Amino acid sequence: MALAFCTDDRRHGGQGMNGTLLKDNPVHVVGIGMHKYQFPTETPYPVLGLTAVREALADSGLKFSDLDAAVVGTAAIGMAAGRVMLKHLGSTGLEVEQVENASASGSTAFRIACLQVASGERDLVLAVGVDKFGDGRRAANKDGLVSLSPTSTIPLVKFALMVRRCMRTYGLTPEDLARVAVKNHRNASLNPYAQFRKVRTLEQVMNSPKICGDLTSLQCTPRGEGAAAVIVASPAAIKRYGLDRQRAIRVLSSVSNSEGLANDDGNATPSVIDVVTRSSQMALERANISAKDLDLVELHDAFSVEELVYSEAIGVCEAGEGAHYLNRGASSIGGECAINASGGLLGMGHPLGPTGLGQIAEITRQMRGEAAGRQHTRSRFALAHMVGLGTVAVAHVLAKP
Amino acid sequence: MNETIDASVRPPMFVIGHCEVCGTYTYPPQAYGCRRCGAALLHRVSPPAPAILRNYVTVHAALTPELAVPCVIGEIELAPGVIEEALIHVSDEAQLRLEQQMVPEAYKDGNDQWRWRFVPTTGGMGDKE
Repeated sequence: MALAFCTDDRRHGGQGMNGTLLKDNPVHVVGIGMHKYQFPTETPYPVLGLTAVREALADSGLKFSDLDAAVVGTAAIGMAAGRVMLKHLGSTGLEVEQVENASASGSTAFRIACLQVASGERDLVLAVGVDKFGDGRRAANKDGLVSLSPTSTIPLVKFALMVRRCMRTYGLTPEDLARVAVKNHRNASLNPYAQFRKVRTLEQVMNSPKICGDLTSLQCTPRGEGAAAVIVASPAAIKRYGLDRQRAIRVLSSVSNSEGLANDDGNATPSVIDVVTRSSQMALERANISAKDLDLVELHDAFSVEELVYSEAIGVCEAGEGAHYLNRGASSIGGECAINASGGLLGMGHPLGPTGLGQIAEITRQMRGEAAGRQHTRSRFALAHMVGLGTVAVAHVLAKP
Repeated sequence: MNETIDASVRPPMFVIGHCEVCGTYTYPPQAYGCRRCGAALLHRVSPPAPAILRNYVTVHAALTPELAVPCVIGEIELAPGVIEEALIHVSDEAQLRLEQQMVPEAYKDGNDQWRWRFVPTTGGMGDKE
């Protein structure tokens, strides 16, 4: 007998509960740390991860022994990466767990950390993302089913197909796509933690090697490694440890979902856009703000087209206006809503496990006014949004104190 | 026994999954449950209508060892609501047009396993071979 599993409610994320945990129980980011994103090296992953964790501890003024729990986001390292790495900070007996959720691994680690604090289970939790470039093994290649294309689990091809659809539907041009990379490489050139530190011209982006369809290499996120760490705290912990409230950034909402059933229409909205729309709208609703209130957005621009379609899906601009929004400078640092001020995945890099936490670190830095050289003019509200393999999404709304 | 031997030599039939509970089509037909209602039993049936090409791109970089590039990948509507990424067997994407009817063609890969690729009803690589 079929279960009544896929209902209309599930299309909207199946979030049957009211999701007010973070509204009723404040959670704050009190410490951030990074290891620069970089091309693959022989550096062992604990060196990357510990650099970020030590920086986050120093930033917060906390000691490792103060922490109640650690959630490790990693997609490629393997089992029990957390304890192997964290034992070098002392064996304090804290709870350690690991989460893998593709590109959204770090965002998921952050979500779990926030919910642990909001639920009252913990007071101080570390979320750390760390990754080395792995072998790309995916569960979708082990499901025992044979697809019609050897590229069926490669997101790049799906997004190249999306580009074609956007070109037909909205008149998107190759130049529109390339301008995303130009903007984000420029932002990355101002970010000391970014993998790419060079400004790129439109011509350089468009003339870089073609990878798939209209996407050139500079419009695709690079392979890399790195680490990012974030410490979240309850109001009680902030008071107990005398942490600086002015540097503590409030997490207003946290939402996670996965793709719904595609519509029975050959020209329907791609499921990844539907996932992004639902997750971001729910996160904004729970934060009690609208997309137009956002001053900063960090989003998953693994491929240039994503920034354009996600900025529309999130509601920062209207449908079909993503390219125009970028072209008139609205998404630049100093514009209406700075999108990927960090450089995004295209410029800052995308080592998988750290990426979502790196977004939180960037937003925190911006809200504190500490993003030297790339400081956006306003930073009251921000959205951090990640997508995992085009099928899952995690969204967080943060607010300046 | 003979049937097993024949199956390895004879190209398979192209089928998709059909849910007996809610009527939804699914690909691949061996899926472990209906993508809409979750029912466990899927019947293997012929597609209810010709396959239609909805989108396509040329892959230029070697993204995976089993894919010789350049090659064309498309989105094929196999049945209402079933749009799958598929290998398109043409020498150039200029041979394609949207909404074109496509037909599945069985071929053996480097591991001697049957795979499917799609060709246009006219103008595909098959016309030149």
